[in-house]
Amino acid sequence: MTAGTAQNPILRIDGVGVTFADLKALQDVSFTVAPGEKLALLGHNGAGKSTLFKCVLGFLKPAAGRITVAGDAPGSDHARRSVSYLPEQVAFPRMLTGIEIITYFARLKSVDPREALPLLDLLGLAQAGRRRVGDYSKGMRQRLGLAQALIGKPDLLLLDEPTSGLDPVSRREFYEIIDRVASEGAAVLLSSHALSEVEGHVDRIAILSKGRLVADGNIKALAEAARLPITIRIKAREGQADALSDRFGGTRINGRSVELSCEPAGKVDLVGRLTERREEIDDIDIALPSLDDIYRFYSNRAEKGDAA
Amino acid sequence: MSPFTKIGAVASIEFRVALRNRWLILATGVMTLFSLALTFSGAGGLELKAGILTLAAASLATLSVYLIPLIALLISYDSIAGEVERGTMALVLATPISRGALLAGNALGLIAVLAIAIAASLAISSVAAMAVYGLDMSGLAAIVRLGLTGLLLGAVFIAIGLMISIASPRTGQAAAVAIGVWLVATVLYDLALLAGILADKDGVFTKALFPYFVTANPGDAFRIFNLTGLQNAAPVSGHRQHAPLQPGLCARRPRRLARRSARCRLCPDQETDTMTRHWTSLLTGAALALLLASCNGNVASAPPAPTTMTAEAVGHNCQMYVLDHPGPKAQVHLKGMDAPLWFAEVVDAVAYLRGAEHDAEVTAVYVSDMGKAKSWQEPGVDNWMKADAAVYVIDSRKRGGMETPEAVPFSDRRLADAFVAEAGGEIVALKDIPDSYIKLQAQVGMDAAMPAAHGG
Repeated sequence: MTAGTAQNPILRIDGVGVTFADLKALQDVSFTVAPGEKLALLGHNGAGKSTLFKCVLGFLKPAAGRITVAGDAPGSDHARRSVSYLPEQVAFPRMLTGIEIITYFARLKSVDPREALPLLDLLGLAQAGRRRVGDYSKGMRQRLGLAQALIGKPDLLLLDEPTSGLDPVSRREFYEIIDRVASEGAAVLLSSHALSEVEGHVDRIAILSKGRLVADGNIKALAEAARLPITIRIKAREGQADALSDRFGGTRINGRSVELSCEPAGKVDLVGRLTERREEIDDIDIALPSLDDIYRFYSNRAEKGDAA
Repeated sequence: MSPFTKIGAVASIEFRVALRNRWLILATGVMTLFSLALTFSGAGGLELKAGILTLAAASLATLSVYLIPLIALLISYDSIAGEVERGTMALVLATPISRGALLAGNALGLIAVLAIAIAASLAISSVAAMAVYGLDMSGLAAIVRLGLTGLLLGAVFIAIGLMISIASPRTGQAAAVAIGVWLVATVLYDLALLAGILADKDGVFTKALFPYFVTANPGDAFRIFNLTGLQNAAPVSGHRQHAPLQPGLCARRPRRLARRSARCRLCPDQETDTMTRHWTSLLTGAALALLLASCNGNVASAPPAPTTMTAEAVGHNCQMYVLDHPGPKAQVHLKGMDAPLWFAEVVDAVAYLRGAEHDAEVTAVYVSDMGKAKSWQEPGVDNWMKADAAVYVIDSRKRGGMETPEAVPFSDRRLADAFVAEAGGEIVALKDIPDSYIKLQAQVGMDAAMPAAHGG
């Protein structure tokens, strides 16, 4: 596993283990997040993402290992001033308005409410600020949650499944704001259960499976390291399918198609050989391994390792 | 920013949530309704203008013991458990606020809600009462004191409510525990103490432990503080248990009122207290009303104690004030009734007992012990003895309260002998008073005594 490369990480997780009764919720998890870095923590439900977040917030004390937030222990006053949290199901007292909630959290964070209220504009809630949260849509509540998390320019943003339940447009706007905050120096640690959701929005991913960290790195490097096969589907001209199948092997599909698979490194070579027989071929389709394939590969590899 | 700013922020949010959830308006409304009802029902046709608020304070002190803890627990039980359950707590705990400050803020916000409810309800009912009956400055002081101590009582129960809220994983469980605590603190605790006294008459419990147990309960401490304060300020109490301490008010009540009243044979002074309990019963449901009735009234199985005779006692047969007439008196207690039937003559009571027309089962009969009476004219208001333990002088020359032949009760036979030596007659037991003697007096009483008595 590659660790975070920054010299002064804002969040350092070092060999953390958490056990509930006889369930090992986290085992020897280590990684770091540097200022300005966006890291996605991936894992199935129950993989240990929320448990890890609770440890970083100081709600849970790990049985093993050590966590520091901005150099201090989680839950300490300094750590709590450095970290902002957006829970998976963000909830606010339904009877309060958006403005009241931002004012409230600004006071709790010792920030002048007048500095915090413009965040409502930033998140497109200026109009809704005077309405009660009970009348907000799920997307509006989530944006209010993010506004709350951004109060006082925190050093570390901890976002638990922040985009689940958001429509694609809201999701894109959400990540635009995250990008801006990170470019100003905040570290972002967000969790998700699908790699495709965070693709293009984060610098690094870490994959948790059954409480263990099974991957840590950027998506491209992880995809290469996985060496997942590439699928090439050839649509043959009339009566040429058998000849192609004899020549290249693979699987016959739908009478006229042949499906081949190859290692990433062999891709160019195979395509070159296919073009030599172009008079027999009607069409070629190349499918790279999907992000979910990569994610599944790392998750499953860990499980197989467990069984072995 | 100081921790006080954060406490203030939490308090203000807690207050706003209570405001928007209509808790504030509900609490204020209920308290105002009750204080208005008690203030004016306590006045109930009273021509006495001064002291209206003193009267109201007495009734309100009794009611507040139930109502304020109930409201305090209702607004606080959901506070922490509800935030945890609805998921709003994690976000707050992630911010740099200490748990102590969070708790203090919650408590302050809730106390503010209660303070407004108490202040508004007392202010509205006081102003209304003074608009109708005129200024009452000493009563106003009693109301202010009631409000302040009521807030203190409420703060104690808000603290208890918050503790319940913290300890409960679910709001449903917190609600159940809160109602249980309310029941124990306001009803069962007193019942248990009462049972303790009955079981241990004049023993260590009653003498040494009881006072501490009573003052240990915030509700009882509140009630005692306010009622004793009122006792010192004015001769009044809305609580029937304090009846011996309140002759002044009763005496000042216009008589014709009581005479016209359908409930004339009960002490009219109890209307206030009955009203208090009635409202409380409405609030807490029929089951609770039963408990309260047994708490405030007579405990089943143990025979009721003799009641001190007041100027308000009205004769069962003739509907006249018993105290206005000389000679020995009798009181008959019936099951399910708070007050005894009063008889201006012992023979009246005997006739009633031997007759068939009983309203309910007779639980106790007491007669004046004339051996301890000051004089024939003043038979005494609390020298009662059990009717079947007395000896009776019949056929004496002394006439009863209605100018009829009387059966004169004595606990001490030698004093009865002395009475016979002076006024003639013979000594018999209760069961040996002849029926003919009873009938005789009944006829005489109807024919001769009634018009004469009405004149006086």
